[in-house]
Amino acid sequence: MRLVTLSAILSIYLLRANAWEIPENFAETGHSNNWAVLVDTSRFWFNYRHVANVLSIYRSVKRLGIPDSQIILMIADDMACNPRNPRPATVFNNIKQHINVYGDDVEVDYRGYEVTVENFVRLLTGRLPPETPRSKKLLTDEGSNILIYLTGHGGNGFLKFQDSEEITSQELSDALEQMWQKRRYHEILFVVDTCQASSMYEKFYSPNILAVASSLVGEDSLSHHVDPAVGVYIIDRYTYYALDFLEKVEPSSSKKLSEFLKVCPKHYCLSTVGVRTDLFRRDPKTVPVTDFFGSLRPVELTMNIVNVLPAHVNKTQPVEPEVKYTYVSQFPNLSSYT
Amino acid sequence: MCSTRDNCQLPVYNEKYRLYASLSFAVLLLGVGVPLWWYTTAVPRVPLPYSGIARLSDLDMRISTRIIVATFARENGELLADEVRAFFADAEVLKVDVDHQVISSNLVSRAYTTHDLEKVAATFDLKVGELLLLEAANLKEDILVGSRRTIYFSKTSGGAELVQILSQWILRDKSLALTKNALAEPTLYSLDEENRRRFPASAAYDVLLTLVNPDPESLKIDWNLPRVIDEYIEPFLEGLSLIANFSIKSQWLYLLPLDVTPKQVPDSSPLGRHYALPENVLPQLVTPLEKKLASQVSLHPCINLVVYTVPCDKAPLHIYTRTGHRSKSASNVEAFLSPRWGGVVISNPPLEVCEEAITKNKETVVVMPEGGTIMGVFLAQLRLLLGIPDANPIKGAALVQLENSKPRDWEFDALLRIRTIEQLTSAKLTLQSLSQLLKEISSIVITETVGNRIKSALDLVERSAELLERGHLVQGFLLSKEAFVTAEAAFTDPSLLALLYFPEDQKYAVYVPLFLPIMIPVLLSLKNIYRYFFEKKVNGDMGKEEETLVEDSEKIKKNEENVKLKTG
Repeated sequence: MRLVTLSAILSIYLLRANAWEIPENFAETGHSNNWAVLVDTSRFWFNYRHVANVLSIYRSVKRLGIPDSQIILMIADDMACNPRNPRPATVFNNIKQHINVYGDDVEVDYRGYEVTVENFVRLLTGRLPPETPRSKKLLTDEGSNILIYLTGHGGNGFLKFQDSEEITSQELSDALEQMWQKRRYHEILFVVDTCQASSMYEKFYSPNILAVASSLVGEDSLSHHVDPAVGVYIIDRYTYYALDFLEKVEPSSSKKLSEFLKVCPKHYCLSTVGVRTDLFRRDPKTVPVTDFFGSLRPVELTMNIVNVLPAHVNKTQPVEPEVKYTYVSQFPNLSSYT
Repeated sequence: MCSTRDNCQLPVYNEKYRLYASLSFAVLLLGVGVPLWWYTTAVPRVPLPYSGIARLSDLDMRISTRIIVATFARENGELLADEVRAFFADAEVLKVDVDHQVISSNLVSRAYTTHDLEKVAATFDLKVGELLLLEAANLKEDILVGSRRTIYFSKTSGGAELVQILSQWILRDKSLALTKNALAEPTLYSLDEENRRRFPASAAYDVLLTLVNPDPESLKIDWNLPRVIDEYIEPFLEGLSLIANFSIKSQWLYLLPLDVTPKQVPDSSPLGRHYALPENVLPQLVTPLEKKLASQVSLHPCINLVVYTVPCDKAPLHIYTRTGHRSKSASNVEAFLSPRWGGVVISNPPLEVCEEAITKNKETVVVMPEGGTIMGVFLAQLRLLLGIPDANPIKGAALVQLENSKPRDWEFDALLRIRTIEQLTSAKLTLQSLSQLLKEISSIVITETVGNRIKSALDLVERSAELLERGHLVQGFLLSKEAFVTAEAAFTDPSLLALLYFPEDQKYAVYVPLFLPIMIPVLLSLKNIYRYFFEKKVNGDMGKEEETLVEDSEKIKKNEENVKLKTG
């Protein structure tokens, strides 16, 4: 009897030791840079809230340190400069105008009618025409953590782009698989705020993706509140609470991803937030939020100096001929001749 | 058309025309329409060498490296050669061939300086990638690593140290294997520090040297950027010109202050203070800098080199490490680098200049930065960023100092090996994943151009691997570079997405309403046509031999009645 208890205690001890060790390994991130792809797919004034959604996330990732060169922002319509906007050049997430999510400098990479399914899939897979400028390319590598945020009008298995087309969950998961095959990411946090949002991630089959959706299949994702001055709903519930959470995150803070997954409980969101963790190999409890929302570049101090003498440059400095500037003679006054 | 059946006098052979009409409909639709539809809607794909791509997974990428051991005594040499051979016998990527030679001690006995030694070593005909272990008599250290492709060792040095130097500094077999594995199996291996720091393989890089002057009113910088580039950076990059094309640019940025406010710390210097920049805020300096650098202009990876000149009222600015110490005690230059991004040097003005400015109340100071030191730091950073790591010290071993900014020959060889493996593995993976994706996703288009690129990339990978196996490092590298670029171009060709995906169920949703109303009558009429010809044949067998038109038409009439009974 004593032997049994002893061995039981021993085995529990061993198990606990193991359980304690594994997350420690898993918590190591191993990513070298951060990128964000933020997409608002719907246009027109009554979709003001979708622009506010995407700008909220843009504001947060930028505040937490991802530079504009590593944020691909796709916005289908310009709400800040819309003639119906009572407060031009601002987009607020709140009737009390707490946070101007438009901020001081917004760099929109794809806008208006450039926001198409084709451009989005090309962006992800890297199959853009060769003349595309660098700011419109997702130049990620095998060490990149990518935050993909989509908002717009969705249905079961698709997300509407503009008013003319939609991306299906199959297309999206195929694009992500191609990214994985090409070693274009290290990990992806996929956040989607639409109706029936969880249908978007159901077909994913590539590893290292953590997917969050604002609503389950069959549920609507609801907006938060109306601003009578704007006249339409100004933000969606899920993103409102996500922004609320992200505002409290600092680049140095140790908030974990598991807390982010709980930002919008059912009594806030009125829809159930869906989470898919089976493709993700780390435990969200050990992953800092800043692994996806922030980007502080790792830095190494340089202690070494290569001591070399300057190479003898044979180039003779071209002697600049001294130029004397004089006034051009004035144009003759023609009136004297007439 | 006739309204009722009674007043309808159909010509007898009308039925025959009707049948031929439906026959021609069927032929047109099934014989021409369906193939045409099939042909125009099929995903265009040229045949690809799938079996060749599948074969790549067994392709053994091994770089043959010849090492010559030259000793005074035969036994010693054999022993050493065996030791080296045994150590690298199970190396993953390298195949080390060791020869040994006996040399007379006279050869090196009069060689006292490194320069003399290098002259002796030059008598051995060494190709790129080869190595010479040369026994030398008059060495201060046990082992001296030369700047060409030679390691000098004394009689007393042990084989273990030599092997350690070979493995850690020169051949870097572990690093090579990790580079390959981390690319091939990212879920099992994670990149090490060296890999994460190094810029990913590319055919061209930009080097952008930026001088930041936050306060041009009070600080004038007297520095000729193009000249220092020519003197220091150009020779270094020229040494690497085989690996990639480098283009160097320089720019001046004004009025760009630091985003953080350094803390003032009193000290015993003439100015009575300095400013402290803790190590953990350094990342916050890089992000705002990046915004203004305009390194986005080019499509190639950009290596940023930034000189931040500190104005007198904020000088001197010093970096404090995490442990709370000054990173460097006596220098006006402080530096840090960010992996895969570039390096930043903080250049403080000389104290005397600032002191003078304060005592004489001068508004503007003119500062000439310490070109040699700053460029020395940049060279150290460039070496790390491009994949020449610092040699971590090994007891009893020494390195010959660099004479000019060019990398040492063996460092260049090591970089060639790393890049070759990186490019070959990447090209191989790209081809494999492309063939895998073509199986998984049915709507990817492969045009003639892409097909040719895939074929040539496959060919290049195989040829490069073969050349490496035979020990031709340079040719092998060049082919691997071409293979990498070609495979990349094939994978990212915009035409692959020419047909944006359309899931199967949606295809049917389009085709069914379109084709069903047309196809049902056509398919049903096939039955009539079949019966007409079949039964005519049966009748023909049963009836008389003579076949006149009248009789025929009667049969048709009969048939038609049959049909009418069936369908009516």
